[in-house]
Amino acid sequence: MTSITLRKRRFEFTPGTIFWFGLIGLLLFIGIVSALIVFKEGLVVTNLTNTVPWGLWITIDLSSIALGAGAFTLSAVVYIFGIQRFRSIIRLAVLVGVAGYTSALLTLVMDIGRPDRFWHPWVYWNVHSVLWEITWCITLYLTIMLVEFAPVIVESRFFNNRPGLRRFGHQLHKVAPFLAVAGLLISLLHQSSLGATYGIIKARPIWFKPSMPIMFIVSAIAVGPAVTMAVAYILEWVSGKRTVAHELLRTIARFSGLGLLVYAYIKFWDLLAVTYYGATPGSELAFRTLNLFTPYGFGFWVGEVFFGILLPVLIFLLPRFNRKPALLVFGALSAAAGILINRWNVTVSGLIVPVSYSPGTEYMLPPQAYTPALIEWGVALGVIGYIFLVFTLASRFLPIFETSEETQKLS
Amino acid sequence: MSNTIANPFIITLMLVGRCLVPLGIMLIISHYLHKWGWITDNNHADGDVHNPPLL
Repeated sequence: MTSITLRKRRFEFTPGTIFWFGLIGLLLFIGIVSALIVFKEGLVVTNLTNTVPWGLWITIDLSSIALGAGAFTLSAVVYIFGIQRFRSIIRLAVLVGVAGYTSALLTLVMDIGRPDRFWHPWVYWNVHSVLWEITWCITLYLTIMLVEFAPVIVESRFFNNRPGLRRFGHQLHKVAPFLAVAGLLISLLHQSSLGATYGIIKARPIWFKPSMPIMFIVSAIAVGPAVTMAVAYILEWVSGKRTVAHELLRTIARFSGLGLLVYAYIKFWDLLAVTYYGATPGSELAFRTLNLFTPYGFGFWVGEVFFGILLPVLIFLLPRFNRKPALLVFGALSAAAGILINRWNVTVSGLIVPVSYSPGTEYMLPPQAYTPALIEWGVALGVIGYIFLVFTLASRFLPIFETSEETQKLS
Repeated sequence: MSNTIANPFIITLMLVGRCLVPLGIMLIISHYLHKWGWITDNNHADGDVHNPPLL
């Protein structure tokens, strides 16, 4: 048997890495201090109110779940459609998914106000609630992704002296297709239910519409793989090694471009339905209120439509653009920004328009503009630092671009 | 007004409609794409390089 000495991967402390780890440390420090203040003082230190109880954190939560959708989309491509050449990016897609879903849970723990009761949905079932279904789906899916990713962790050099764990990891790898299909089913549920949460808020004149679940899941399927593609390119630039075949990444970009076209089609029909076919005095008043208090129109047309759809579609689908990796990464970041702005518009703008009657209140709440407090930005920066840390450590220490078979051959 | 979401029939219908039907549609599409030769097993060569070893 040929033996190969594995080169130990260590960090070389160049000025660049020191700056990078300093930045991550600073972001994490700001995030942890902000989180501790929120835990000690409660949500009163935020700018969240009875009129706008969901803000920046829920926007991050919804966005990171959508952007982590590359895991289930690419799993479907490999395990349902049997297109085996995408197998080389599955591990990275699952890593992006794990980072996205854990970020979502981190912000949710901050947002629920009583983090000590995070386990209640698992014990005290409320089958009437879409949020209960989402809680179950997100936690189950995160568990599935962690099990899917476990073989990658035990293949790292930290487990060189644990052959039992390695064998267990390889066994686990064999059930990956079943896990992927289970994860796909759960994703089909919660990626649409996240939109349904807004769809069932009947009292909100703009956001009560059956198209919300469809738009949420289609946008996630379109943009999630593009984010995975962008991460693959960035890791390649940072490490200086070819990670995934460029033609494969271009195919993913084309898929995302077509997905964004489908999303745009549904979105424009939806816009017409709300503002023209199904316009009511309530929805017209809501739009006037939104434009008085927020830059809603600018955010929609420039943020969601131009940067979120038009620009990435052109970059992903036109051959002269999608041959250039830098443009593909720019397109993916632009599409991700579009998702972020869309989730912000749905969450915050939807709530700024007050309900005419709210249980427990005898009067109509006033419309209220919302700007995140510094402490909310602090937590958001901490989450960004956490994502940077996950990708830095994973790309350095974990075999995310090697298949299990290749690793077996090496050992 | 009765709450329809507590109805076991509705819950089952939602599970089938939102979960199993899309999976079934994907499997049928996949079957025909393979049958018509749009997806082949030997499609590794499409990429510019096969994954180069990292070591």
